[in-house]
Formats: sequence, C-alpha cells, structure tokens
Amino acid sequence: MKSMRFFVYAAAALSLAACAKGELAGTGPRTITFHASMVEEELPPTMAVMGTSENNKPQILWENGDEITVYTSAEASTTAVEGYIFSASLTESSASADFTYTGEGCASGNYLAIYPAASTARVVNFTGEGDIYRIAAVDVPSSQTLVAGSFDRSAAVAVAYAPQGSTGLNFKNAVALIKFQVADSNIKGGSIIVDGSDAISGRFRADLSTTEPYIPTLSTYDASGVTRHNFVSFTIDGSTCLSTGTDYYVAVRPTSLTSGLKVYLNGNWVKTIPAAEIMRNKVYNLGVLSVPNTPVEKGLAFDFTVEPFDGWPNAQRSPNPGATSCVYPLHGTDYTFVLADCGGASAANTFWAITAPINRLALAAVYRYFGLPAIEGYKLVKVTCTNVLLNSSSATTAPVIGITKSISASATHPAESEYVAPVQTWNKNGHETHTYTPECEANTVYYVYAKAKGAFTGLTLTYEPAQ
Amino acid sequence: MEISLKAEYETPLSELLTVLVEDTVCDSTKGVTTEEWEEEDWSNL
Repeated sequence: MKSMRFFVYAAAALSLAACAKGELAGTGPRTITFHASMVEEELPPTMAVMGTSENNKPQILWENGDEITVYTSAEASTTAVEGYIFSASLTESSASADFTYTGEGCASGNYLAIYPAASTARVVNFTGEGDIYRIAAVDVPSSQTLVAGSFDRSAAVAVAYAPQGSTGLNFKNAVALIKFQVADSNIKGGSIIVDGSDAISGRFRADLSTTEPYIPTLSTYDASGVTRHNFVSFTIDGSTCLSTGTDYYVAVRPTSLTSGLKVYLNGNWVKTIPAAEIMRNKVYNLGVLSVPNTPVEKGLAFDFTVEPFDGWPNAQRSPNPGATSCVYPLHGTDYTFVLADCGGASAANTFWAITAPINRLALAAVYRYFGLPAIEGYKLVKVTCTNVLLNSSSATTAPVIGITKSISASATHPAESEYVAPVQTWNKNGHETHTYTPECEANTVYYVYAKAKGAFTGLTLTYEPAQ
Repeated sequence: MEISLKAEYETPLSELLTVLVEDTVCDSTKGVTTEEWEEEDWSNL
C-alpha cells in the first residue's frame, strides 16, 4: 500500500509540474496511478462484480486485472485516439482500487475514462460543446454472457471525468440493468426485444454533463460501422443452463421505449413490460420468470455482429444457384437459415461478412435471398432488420428489401404476388431498423429478398402459434 | 506552485517528489465519490 501511495503522489506531482511548465509530458516512460472507486465499503471476497452497499443497494466491485481506458485533453482531437489502458492490481475484489498505467504519453490534462477498457480508437471531445464532454464508440453488447449473481463485464459501461490535478475518478454507471431469476431448470438463454425504433444495444456516444457529478447519457450517432439494435440476446457460458434461485443481470442502454419490452427464455415469451422510461443507474427487477406451459409467442434475436458459426460462408462464396442451409444455434435450438440466389450468380452472394468495419449478413447483390427458419406449429408474424452499410465505403444506392414466399427460377424479381409484406427502401447509409409484418403460413420458409443489395447486423423474428 | 524547468532537472527526483507530495496533498481534496444502483420492482408489471 505504501508503494501505491507513492505512485499516486508521484503521478500527481508530475501532473502539477507539467501543469506549471508544460515541459514534462513525453519525456519518457512513467507511471501514473488513478484511484478509482465504484463502491463505498469493503465487501467479502467474491468473484462477482455486483456487491451490496451499506444502504443495501447494488454496487460494483473492482476485480484484479480490471482495465479502464483513460483519455487526456492534452491529446484529444477530432481524430480518433486510442487512450491509455490503466489496470487494477488487487488481491481480492475491492470497494475501491488503484489503476496504474506505465509508459509514455498520457500528458497532463483533464481526463475522461471509461470502463470496460477497449483498444478501439475513439473520438473524444473535451471542449464541452453543447455543455457535454463526449466519448464515441461506446458499446453495449447485443450479445451478453450471463454471470450468476452479476452481469457481463463487457456490458457494465461506466464513465468518469476528472479535471486536471485530480487523483480520483468517480465512475458513473451509463447503462441500466434488467435483473431476473428463472423458475425452470432448462433455460439456456433468452432475449430482451423492444420495438424496432428503439435502440437498447449497439454502439453509442457517451455524453457527460460538464458540471459535477458528470452524469452520462448514451446518445445515438452515425458513423461507419455504427449499428444499434432493438434487442439484447443473452446466454450462459458453456452448455449448462441458468441456475434457479440465482440473480442474473442484463445491461441495456437507457432510453424511452415507444412500446413494450418483451422478455423471452429459450425463445418463448415470458413477460412484457409496458412502454417505460429506462434510466441509467437503475436495476429493474423482473422477479422470477417462468415459461408458460401452453404455446406462446416466440421471439428470436439473431446477432450477426458476432463471429460466424460453423458452416456459414464468410466471404463471397462460389456460385451456388439454389440454396445452402446454415444453422444458427440459439438458446438450445438450432435454427436453419437458407442462403440462396437465382440466375447462376458467380459472386457477391449471400454470406456472413466478417470484413471491417463490422460483421454483418450481406445480401451482396440483387437477386439474393435469405431464407428464415420455419418452426413447426408456428407462423412468422414480424421481421425486423438492422440496416448497415454493405461495404465500408459509402453506399451509392439504397437497399430495397422485401419478404417473399419463394425463390425466382431465374434472374428476375419475384412477381408482386410473391411478396408477403410491402417492399421497403432502406437508408443507403445504414443506421436504421426496418420492420415487416408479413402474412405467412405456418411451418413455412420465407425469404428476405434483395431487390437492391444491402446488409444487416441484427435480425429479430416473431412467431405466433398456428391456430 | 511554480517550478522552473532548470530546477526540475537540477533537483534530485526524490527531493522534487517530496516537495510536490506536500503540495499535492493539499491540492487533491476532491476525493472519490461513489454511486449506488437504484433498484425498481418490475415483478408485478
């Protein structure tokens, strides 16, 4: 502890010296330590990151190896910067921690910091324009891994601002948490799905008020590869099931919902929360969730920003007129999609693209199809796609996407009678969601069809039991 | 606090830090605040 104090003082000393003369920055490797805290009392050693305060409220524990990214106003600009990774060294989870960075740079200035750390270069703005400080490229993961008694650490977004000369960083939670338990012992995972116009996960910009206590808001913004989803899909590590009697937490972006929030377990509806204001730093306790015994609506959220599953083509595949089946395993069930084209295409087919700036499902040319899973005893009633640029370069034409009953035999558009929902023209720059409410038969494959090429990062499907 | 560049280079680092530590202790009183999560019951909705 003594050495830690030395580091704190030394860092502050160097900061003061740099402040006074502006000469010490960049003169060589050095160690900087921030004292950062998320909790106010010592808690029992635990691997969980969620603890309880003396006021019996949930609070976060730092763990050994936790990392934060720190940005300094001395280096911020309109171009993206990587910041500096500070890490915590702890022998046990703690109410507070010292985070240390050793190396060059990190010149003295005002500081913005974010947890969890990321090596992603970000645009950081210290000017206070519009009375906000900004950190771009802040991710609330669309796919989260549940942790018993806690939450996915990659989703526990918190941000802090510290004026020059500070040795402390006061992190503020930027997300909300949905808390629940399960009553059934066979739950592999589930989804939280909201209206297509509402974004609860994806990439946002943290806007902090320029006055204490520097409260953050996760705002939307548009840039290459930026995508936002109307869902969070969650699962448990490995092939095990969620434990009954255990609290689980899913992080979502605070927003005002335009319609209800639906929760699904193993793809089956379990609860609907009426339209509500989801606020940051709130834990919303859904209680104990149970899957009804009778057939209920199914809600499936497919995230194409993750790595492709086995068997999925991740590049423009070889000519394959007709259809190729690919499996997307989700919460204990294998869902089969059909990648298809017509007219003997030689390139630019349907595939799970993994090139920058973000993974996506690509309908890489006109006449490309993406067959949606047919579920025995159910009919498809809603399809929501999250639009993203097909390529990293700016699009010149807007995607035109419909839902069809079949695949054309040749390189022609389907007849109008083949469409089961009105064709929609998507924003050519991405960043939007588009919802279809098709008229479908039960037990039948329907196709997302590219009348003009496009791509999407997220796909939510709703099925109702067939009468 | 004023420190000339010349003084920084001529003064042993340990002494410089000792001097600055005293100044820092007085200057770093902003402290670290904490934030608790607020829980809301949606179990009956």
